[in-house]
Amino acid sequence: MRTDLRLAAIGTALAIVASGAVVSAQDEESKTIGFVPPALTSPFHVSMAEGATAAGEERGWMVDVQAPTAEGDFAAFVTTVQQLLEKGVDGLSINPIGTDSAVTAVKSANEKGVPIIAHNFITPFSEGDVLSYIGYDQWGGAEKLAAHTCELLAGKYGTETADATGKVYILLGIDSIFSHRRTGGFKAGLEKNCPNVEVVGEQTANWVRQDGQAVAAVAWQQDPDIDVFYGNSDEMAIGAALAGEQLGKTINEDFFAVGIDGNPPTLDLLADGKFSATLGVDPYNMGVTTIETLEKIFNGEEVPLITLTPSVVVTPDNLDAYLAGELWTEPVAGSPELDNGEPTVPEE
Amino acid sequence: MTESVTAVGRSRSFARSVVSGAGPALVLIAMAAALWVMSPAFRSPTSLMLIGLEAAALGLVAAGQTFVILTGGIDLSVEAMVSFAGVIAAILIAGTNVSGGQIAGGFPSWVAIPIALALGALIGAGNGVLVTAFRMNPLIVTLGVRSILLGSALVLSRGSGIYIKKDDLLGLLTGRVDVLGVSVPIPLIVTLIIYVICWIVLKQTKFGRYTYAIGGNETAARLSGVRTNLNKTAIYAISGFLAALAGIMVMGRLESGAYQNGTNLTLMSVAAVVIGGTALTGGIGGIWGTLIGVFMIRLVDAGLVYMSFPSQAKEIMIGAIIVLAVLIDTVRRGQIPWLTLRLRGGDPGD
Repeated sequence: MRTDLRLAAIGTALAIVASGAVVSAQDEESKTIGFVPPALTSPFHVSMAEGATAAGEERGWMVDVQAPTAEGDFAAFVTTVQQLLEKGVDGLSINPIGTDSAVTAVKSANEKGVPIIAHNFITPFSEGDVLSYIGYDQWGGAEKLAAHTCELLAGKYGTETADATGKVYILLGIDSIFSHRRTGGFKAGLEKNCPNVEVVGEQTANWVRQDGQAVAAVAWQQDPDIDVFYGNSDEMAIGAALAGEQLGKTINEDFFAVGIDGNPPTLDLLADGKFSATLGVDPYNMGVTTIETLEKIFNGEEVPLITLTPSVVVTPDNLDAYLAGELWTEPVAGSPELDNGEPTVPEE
Repeated sequence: MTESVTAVGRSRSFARSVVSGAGPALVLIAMAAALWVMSPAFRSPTSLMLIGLEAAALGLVAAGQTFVILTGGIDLSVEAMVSFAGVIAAILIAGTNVSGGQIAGGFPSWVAIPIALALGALIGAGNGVLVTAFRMNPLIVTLGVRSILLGSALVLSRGSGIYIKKDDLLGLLTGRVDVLGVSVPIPLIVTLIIYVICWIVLKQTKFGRYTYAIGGNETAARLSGVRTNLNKTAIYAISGFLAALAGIMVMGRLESGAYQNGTNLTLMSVAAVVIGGTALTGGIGGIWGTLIGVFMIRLVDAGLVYMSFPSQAKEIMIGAIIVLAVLIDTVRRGQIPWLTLRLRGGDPGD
């Protein structure tokens, strides 16, 4: 039974690659790509869609960006993918935010022989043939951000990085693989680089700014000595920065706010000195990578199952270089990310 | 003179009632026709099947919501129930997920589904008891229960969808059947059956008449011997049950029980009910209007994708169309005093 399934899977994969090749041979110039973000309600997904659209235009392709109105509307997500398949697309790149919630969508694409890849996550589905998962290593990125946090604390208290002390408060996203990976990696990074720094609390702020602000304000009432607020997303950390301002604290002197995403609003705040550091994952170029990967698939080239895009700690010092795209490095083949409390890329 | 005027008045009001009854349906047909002409992709059988599939879950939730709104209440917990029931059933079927992995081998779905549905009815009845016996406002009760259910679904699923393998029953429930060469989703058939049952209950049973009576004037209904508390509790139980059924459908379709499975369904179900002509104040309306409202919403959703409408602006369009649909309906029904006065030429006797 197992082998049958596998054979079937390999067969389907071959059929997909073959059909992709046939299509590309027939119609070199014009391709229609379906690009499906979880929703376009955050600057992160908007900028990824813009990257994909621009990369498509360069090739004379049509990138049809369609998304549900709300993140987490999984049924609408699946329907949107299936509707794009009805409209007739040559390839698909999808970003469901629920692990496995889009298995049905993947299977529909497989049935139609339309090549499908996934962007912004690298956790393979339990079923269905996705040709490549494109995303950054959340755990490893959070580790890097933690290392930078150690340096910030060392600077504040005038110690060596390894001896840095201080209190960190973590603003969690809604319980999910994303929040687990980003929190786990950050804690591991602190442990590795400045073991004396203490995590004094962690609370969910539901990925959003308002909740980040509210949670941070309360946290400071309980413990006025908190040095760093780390948000699983930038938005929550920005909320903490705003809360600090309202409590009469000065950011980058009294406290630091760091987060993950590197969205345009965060970068603006960094330029204004109102934020400390973010993990830039360059969503625009991640979007470009999806189109490049699809092009390789159409040309019959091999693509890795996991394509790791780079992430870099962005501070006021390297902000200009980041904005100019100079910090972007070529994506590399990587390993899948699992919700297992272990680093994504095994340590030597 | 009086006789002829009355006769004309009667035939006019009969014509008006037909037109007002058919109003939303006409709008729906016009929308579908427009889309049919403009988008070739929309004409494919799969496209129509997808709309039917999307309409099914919303339809089930909206059917329950119709009962609740007919009594003058509202049930804001439905989308949470969709998620909760899906997560419960998925956990029973698949076992729970540990660190992203699955403990396989749980209950067959013929055990899991009834448990989830029973929980739905029970929690719905709980809503009803809080609203009636404890005299609490349905808005607050169901808002609170919504949070509790969403939170429970989140805790139970640890924030990631619980992946299930469909067994025969679940496969059948969420599958398709060929009717005269057209592939019809079974969830849609189930939903249509539920609507027929709802229609019979509302029109042919005491319970149905009491539902309208409670919404029309609860005190009067109680004084004339209707056990309003019992009836209302049963109605919230129906709403919970149907939302749980929708939860099973969504979970089965996605092969995943996740706490977000019900996203958007509460507001959409209320919108469908109102578009369908049921008054938010209760007492007036019916079940078929709701079904038309459901299809109208799903048609707009689909149409925006087929017309490659920019996704960021979808909400504007959906909102505008909902407002417009209700506006057309109220104008047709002649419910706007300053407009009807002019149209009727000041006939005060109607």
